[in-house]
Amino acid sequence: MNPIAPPLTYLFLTAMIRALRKPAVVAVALVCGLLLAVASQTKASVDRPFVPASDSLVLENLPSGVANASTRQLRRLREALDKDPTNLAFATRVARLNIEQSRMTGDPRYLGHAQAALSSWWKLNAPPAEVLFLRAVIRQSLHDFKGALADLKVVLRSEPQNAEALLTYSTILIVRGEYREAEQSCERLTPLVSELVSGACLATVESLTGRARNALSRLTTLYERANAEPPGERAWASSILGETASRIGDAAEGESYLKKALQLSPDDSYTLGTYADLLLDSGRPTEVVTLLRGQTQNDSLLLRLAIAELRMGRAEGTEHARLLRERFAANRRRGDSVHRREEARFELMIERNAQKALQLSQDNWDVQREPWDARLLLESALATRQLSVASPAIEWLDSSRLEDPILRNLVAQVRARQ
Amino acid sequence: MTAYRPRLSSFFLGVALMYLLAAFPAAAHRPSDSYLNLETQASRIEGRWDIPIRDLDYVLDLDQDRNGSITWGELRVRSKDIESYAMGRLRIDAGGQLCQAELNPLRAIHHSDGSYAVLTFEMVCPSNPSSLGLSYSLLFDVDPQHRGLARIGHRGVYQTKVFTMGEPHQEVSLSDARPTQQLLSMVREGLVHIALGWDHMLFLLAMLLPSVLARRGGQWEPFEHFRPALIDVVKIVTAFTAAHSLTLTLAALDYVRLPSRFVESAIAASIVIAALNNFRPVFRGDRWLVAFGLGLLHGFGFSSVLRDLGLPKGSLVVALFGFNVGVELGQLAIVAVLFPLAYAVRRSAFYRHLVLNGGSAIAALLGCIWLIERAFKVSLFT
Repeated sequence: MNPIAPPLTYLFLTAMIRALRKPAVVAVALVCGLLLAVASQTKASVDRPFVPASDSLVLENLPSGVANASTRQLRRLREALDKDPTNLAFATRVARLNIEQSRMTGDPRYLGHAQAALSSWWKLNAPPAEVLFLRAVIRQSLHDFKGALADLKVVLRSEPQNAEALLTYSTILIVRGEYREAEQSCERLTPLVSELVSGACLATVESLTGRARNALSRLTTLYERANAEPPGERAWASSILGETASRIGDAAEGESYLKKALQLSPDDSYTLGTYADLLLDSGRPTEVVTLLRGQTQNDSLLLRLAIAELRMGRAEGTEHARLLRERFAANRRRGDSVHRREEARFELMIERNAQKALQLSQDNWDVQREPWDARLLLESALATRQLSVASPAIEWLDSSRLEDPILRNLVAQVRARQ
Repeated sequence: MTAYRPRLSSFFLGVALMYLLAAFPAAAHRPSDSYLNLETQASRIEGRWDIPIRDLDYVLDLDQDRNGSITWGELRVRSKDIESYAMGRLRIDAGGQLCQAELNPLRAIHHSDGSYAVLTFEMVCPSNPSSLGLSYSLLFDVDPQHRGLARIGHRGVYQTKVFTMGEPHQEVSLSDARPTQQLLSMVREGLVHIALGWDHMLFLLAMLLPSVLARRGGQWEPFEHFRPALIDVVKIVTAFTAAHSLTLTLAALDYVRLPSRFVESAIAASIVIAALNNFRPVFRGDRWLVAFGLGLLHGFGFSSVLRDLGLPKGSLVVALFGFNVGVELGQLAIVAVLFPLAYAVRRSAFYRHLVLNGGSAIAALLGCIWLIERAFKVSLFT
């Protein structure tokens, strides 16, 4: 035994016995100490490796859930592809199923799996057109818009009637703010797809280029006689109608279309996000909390949920903000820049770090040019009083003649202060 | 082989449209990453590797009962497969020769995007390397977007590397950092250690709480003047510093070595002693002696941190000095904030009853909990 141990033990015990004679001290100490210890331990178990005490502790819930027909099909196809990795038919089906999964869940792992399925052709200069199209879809999902457009151009040269490729091409052009070309390719789509789909494509361009009222009335007509079309397409058209109506300041009509879209397709994260934005802009955060309850996996929805909760002063908001902070940090560590728009909004509205938000929204503007991208650039320019930085967004708004009253109001504020 | 005809599935089209027009972030969930932490010390490498359980399930099919969730039991029974799968995809070599790994039992951890399996290992390299070659090929075959995020520590200096499908090999230079850089990094380590080392902070607090008071007739009475109070603080802080610097140096130079379980338990006990001494002082005017005696123990505690950082033999003095400076700066910061506050309110009943008695009681209780946990290697609150 160590020589210092006995006197230390003696000191410790005598002092303990003395203190224990004061019941009040002991009681206070017990309560406070327990609280502190429990608090420190709960936090510790979050970020320290541990050996679970029980075998039945659930560590992870798989996104595929309980094995169902489609996951079993995907598993069988994957096994077949593993045995025959250069089988084009297997590979493209596995890739397609994974892309569909990623779209439904917003989970980027499926995009990686889709890319892996195509690995025999991925790096070829001239892969088969089907692979090229799927590569473009994966690339645009990773925000490599230039790479995606290049692939699609090649596909469309050999297959000018390829509707999927044409539609994907149009939509990337819209995201990039290249409306003239986007409109042309929507028109090329007209003979190839239903009038609802081509009409929705055109209406989107019109709603962003100063013709929102025209878009609204035309798409409404198409939508009302499209009852026989698949619910996915009707939901999509309804979502565009909702967005267009709110873009010209008609929040009530916008809301009714967004609600219809959600009835047709309740889990659609894009419509959920648009509806949440409408509610936030109308000062109704309580409804956002109801709408987005439990949406913690999808960062875009979690961001809107956290903004609403913090506005209402709810404690969950702080926890959700912490989750977002960790996820953005993890993305930065891996060198991802896919979420600049979300991160800019997070910095601006939750962290209140306008300088950082400005940098992010500037970087984002180089990649994406949609109304929200312009809004973030304008708002962070106003918050940092670096008004000149907002001029690309103002020029874009002037040339596109977008009617959005929120954006117009922001531009007016910038001009008033200049 | 029949060519696959592209066909326009209206479902696919509908979903595609919604998604594309939205340009909604592809990575709404987090993409797949693993976290690899390596600490090098001479020819040994200590490693910890966090791998998402979801990805392990994708390649190893862990969900045996097909209920859509992975339990600890399902992970544990496959731990051998997990280990050989992962370690077969990580190669670390020193000067072209492979380092051999020995694995510790599997654990788990929660990160912001889900649970991860934690592999910890110790590696022995054939020679004392000046650089390491890392080859990482985990999961790239099933997810080319996967990344391996590595952090490599060498003598208190950290570098980060990102492994991608395109860059699966990385060369890490272990050349010694410049002395100033090393000094600064050691000062930072010292500061971090005192800021995160709750036990040292709590001990110091317990010692300093009565410094603005004098013991008269079995009661704590406030000092009339600033000078005696300041002298008391200076004596205690100096004694504590001198003591832990002494043992820290002795331990770092390997003259004395105490088992860490004993040291950690004794540090917990020192908090209890310091705190209880505030109720019924056994030591009075000579409280600086207590600070000195117990400070000796804390020095051994600091030394284990230094050992974990892996001290360079060549610049041991620089490292020791830097670490000590960091610890002292941290301590001074605590004193500089608390002492004026305590002095200002020393006359109030609030200070003497609630802060002194309550604070000491909490410190004593926490010390007791730590003492039991560390001495008996049990966890009381998990």
